[in-house]
Amino acid sequence: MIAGFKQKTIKLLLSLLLIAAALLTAAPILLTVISSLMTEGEIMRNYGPAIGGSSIDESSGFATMKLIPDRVTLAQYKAVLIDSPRFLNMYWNSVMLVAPILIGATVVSSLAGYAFGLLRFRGRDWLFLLYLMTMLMPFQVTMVPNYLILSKLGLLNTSLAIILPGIFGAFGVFLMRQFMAQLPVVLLEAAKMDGAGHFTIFTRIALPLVKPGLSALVVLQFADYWNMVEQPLIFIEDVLRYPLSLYLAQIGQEAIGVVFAASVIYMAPMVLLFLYTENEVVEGIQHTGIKR
Amino acid sequence: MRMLTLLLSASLLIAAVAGCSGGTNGERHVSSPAAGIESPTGKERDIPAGEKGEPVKIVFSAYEANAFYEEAKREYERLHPHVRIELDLPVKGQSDLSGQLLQKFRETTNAKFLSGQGPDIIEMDRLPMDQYRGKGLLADLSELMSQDADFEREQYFTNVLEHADTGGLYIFPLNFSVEGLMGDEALMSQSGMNVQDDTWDWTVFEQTVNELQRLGGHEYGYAYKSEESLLYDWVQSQYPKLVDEQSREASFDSGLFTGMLTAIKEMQANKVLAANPAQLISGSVYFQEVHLASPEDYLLNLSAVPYEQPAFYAKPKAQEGQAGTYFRTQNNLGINAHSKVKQEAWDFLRFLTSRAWTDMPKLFPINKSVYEEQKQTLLTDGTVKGNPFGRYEGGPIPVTQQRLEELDAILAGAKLQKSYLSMTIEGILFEETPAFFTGQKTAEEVAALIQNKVQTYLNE
Amino acid sequence: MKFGSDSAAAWVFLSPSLIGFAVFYLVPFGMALLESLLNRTPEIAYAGLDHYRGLLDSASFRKAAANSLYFTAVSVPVLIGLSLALAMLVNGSVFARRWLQTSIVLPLVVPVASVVTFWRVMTDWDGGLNGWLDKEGVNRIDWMNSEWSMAVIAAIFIWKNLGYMMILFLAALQGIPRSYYETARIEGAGELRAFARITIVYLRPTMLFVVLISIINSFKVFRETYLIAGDYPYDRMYLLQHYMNNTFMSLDLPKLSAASVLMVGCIAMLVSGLLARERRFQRDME
Repeated sequence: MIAGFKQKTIKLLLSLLLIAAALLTAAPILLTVISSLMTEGEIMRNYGPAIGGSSIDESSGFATMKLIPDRVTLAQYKAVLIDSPRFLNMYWNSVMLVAPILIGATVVSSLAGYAFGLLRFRGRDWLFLLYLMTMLMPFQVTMVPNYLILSKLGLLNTSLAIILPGIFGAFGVFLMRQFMAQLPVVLLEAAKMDGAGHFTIFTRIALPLVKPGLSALVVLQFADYWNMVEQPLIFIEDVLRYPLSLYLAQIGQEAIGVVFAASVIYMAPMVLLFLYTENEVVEGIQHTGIKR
Repeated sequence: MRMLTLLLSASLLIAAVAGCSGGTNGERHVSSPAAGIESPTGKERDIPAGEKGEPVKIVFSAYEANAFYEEAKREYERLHPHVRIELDLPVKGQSDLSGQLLQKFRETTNAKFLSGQGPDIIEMDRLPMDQYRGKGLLADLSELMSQDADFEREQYFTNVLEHADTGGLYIFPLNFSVEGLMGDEALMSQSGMNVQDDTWDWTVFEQTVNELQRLGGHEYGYAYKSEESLLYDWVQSQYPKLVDEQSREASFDSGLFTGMLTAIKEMQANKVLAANPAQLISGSVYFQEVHLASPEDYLLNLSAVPYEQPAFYAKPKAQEGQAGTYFRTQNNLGINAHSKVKQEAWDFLRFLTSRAWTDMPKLFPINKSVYEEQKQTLLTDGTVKGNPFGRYEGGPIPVTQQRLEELDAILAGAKLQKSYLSMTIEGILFEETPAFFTGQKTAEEVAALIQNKVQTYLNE
Repeated sequence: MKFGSDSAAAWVFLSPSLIGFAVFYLVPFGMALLESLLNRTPEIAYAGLDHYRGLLDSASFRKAAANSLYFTAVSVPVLIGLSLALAMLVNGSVFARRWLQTSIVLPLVVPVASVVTFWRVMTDWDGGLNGWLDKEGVNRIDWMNSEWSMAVIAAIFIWKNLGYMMILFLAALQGIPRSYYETARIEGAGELRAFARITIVYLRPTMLFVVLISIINSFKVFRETYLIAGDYPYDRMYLLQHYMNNTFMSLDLPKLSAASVLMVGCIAMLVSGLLARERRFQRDME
């Protein structure tokens, strides 16, 4: 009896902790959504004091957070979606950069992850360490060599200048290697005994089993590349080719009145992807029905 | 393991080849049969053209689009059919509050230069000049000048040209402006003081102002555009005491700097200094900071101050032994040291200075003959439309030969480069000091912050 | 024959990745390494370890390295502890699990610009936090120009990456067969014991990954810091990335390359140690 009560209390406490964490992490997003429904005047009243640089007039008071708008309006959405054709254009640019990266990186990384995680070959560990080391190089360092290579390949100012490095990044390989390495070797050996080749084993057994890993890969890579700023800033010259992330970084201070609606629309695909893939990540394994 | 070693060494080899070919682009000169080309001065001269009539391409890069660059390009290409000028001007009138555009320009330009793919001509206005020169990325223009038989230094404001770059002759400014003070000459002669504004320093200047204030006549001592602007002049004047370039030590936390900060506030309280627009309009002052950008500007500024006998005075000198008027340059052009078409680039650069382009910034041109043209136009017009708040109350201001001759003398004395503080230190100063002037922080707090940041910069 | 002993197949599987990796990562890495050993001006010449020596002599580099080390050493363990705890909570059945989980992951989607705007609204001199302090009658704090700045940055970092690491842990937790816990319970092991003996053990490969990605992401916090405080932030916040960015801006490629090679070298030592432990662990498992 007492033990059961204690467990229940612990569970309640933990749930409360979780709710607190969720509120804390979600607060800025909630504020963004709420602010996206405000009028420009109200936004300036609320946030103006903090955003207008070091204050010129002292009387302007403090920035405040409001949870209920004085007046709800869709003006911001109209301004972003209808009045500025560039916004949708850049949305499309972002999609056309991120989608190829995700597809390419998933294929390339899972292949390489299979090799690193499950196969043995000379120099494997050293090569893997080399992969990891490149992940640590800051962008400023690799920018100049990359600039040179991309221009030698004639890729500067094309989407490929962003897409190709994205596909071949070490992050995906690392992630897939970790998941592949955890697969039960017994199962794979059995398949091999049955005469299956590596490619069959890879597609039929390994891939379905690392589905949570694949989902995690897609979600995390999506977040990384949807939010990227540095690479397109340097390697894409044509403003018409800019992805949305650059636009948002730019209007942050210039058009404070529409930035919230723009952010909401910007975040929408990622939120949808999360809701969709969460089941995959969390329940993926159960559905494959394999128990070790 | 052997496979891996092979792979690694292969990558290194590729890296080495790629790296070197990037860095040594400039060593291979294009030499080809010379073709007669019309030079800016109209004379025929020899310029190596591309191989067998192949067009020569000159890449010109600047942060901001200027209509006169486009105009000059069209005109030059018309006169030189085998030359193509590629303009790379990323910013076309967009506002850049977030600083993203400037960041992109600086980073890409750095990447281009460091990978040996920089433009042939570059406008250095928004780039760290010292670093570019120091890394050997800019061509020595005096070399190009001496190779160019048609180039006559006397055609240009050589005083500006020679002092525009403290480290040699690596940039060629197209335009400049001068900074100084408008003063009340009548009061000055009444006071009986013999003012040597060509050489005065801050101590002499302050004494002069105090003496004038003692005699009375105006409400404020002198007016500056902003507190930061005055602070900047003071920091420049004490720079060696604040930053020891030799040992890379900063001393902004010494009493000297906090003294400057509090002095500026005190002077405002004591009506020695007026540093905001409200005071500028209402109060009368003995000296008022002005920036002169054109002959027209000079006449307008003379009429805008409420003195019967206005006169231009040079600003107090930052360092002992200096003489002259301060100037600032704009559209500072440099030539890529690794460019394959340096001669052609130089020719285009000269061409840019040769005319009064329609949309040239309203500044003094580096070319004296263009300046003469400006003056001539004014003289022909006879008057300038006055400022509604000035003495002529919007009415026409007469243009006189005497006034223009005064200006000639001012420009001839412009031999002190205004901004020789590093861009970084300048940035830190302007970023942190407003917190003091608006009363958010004490002088000591601000000084400590600046000290830390500057010291970090010096130690890098 | 053991399952994995097929090196020909391994190279086939590896080749697509390897080709792109070599072109876009390995060669640039090699070039940086090379650059750190060369002098460019006045002429290209071998400089030996001069740039490395210059680096260690630079007080700013030492300060940046110390700040970065301190920041990473404090915030990464906190991040990992918190995200593991959350992952385990979410993994167990709790109230409204899906929604809670989604909201924890949400900071991942927030664009950098909004993150920066939000934190500026909070920490500006006239911002929300100071407004609150002022109401309570406490003196205002210039958050980004005080000792608090590091804490603010750590908060941003943890807030942003909590969901990221939680996803990774969740995916790994799901991979641990339930039967193990059941067996443990039947054998009378307590929750703590099950956690130590099963969860921690099976999370090891993921842990290696999470540690490294956390370190990498802790360096990426530069982007937010830079947008909030510029290239010369308050002393405490001056990180290696600031140093590198500033040396890049002043075109000092050799110094920049040397700094990054040194940094990567140090982390690589740590990682190879972790990898060796992982290998030992795998051998034990087999």
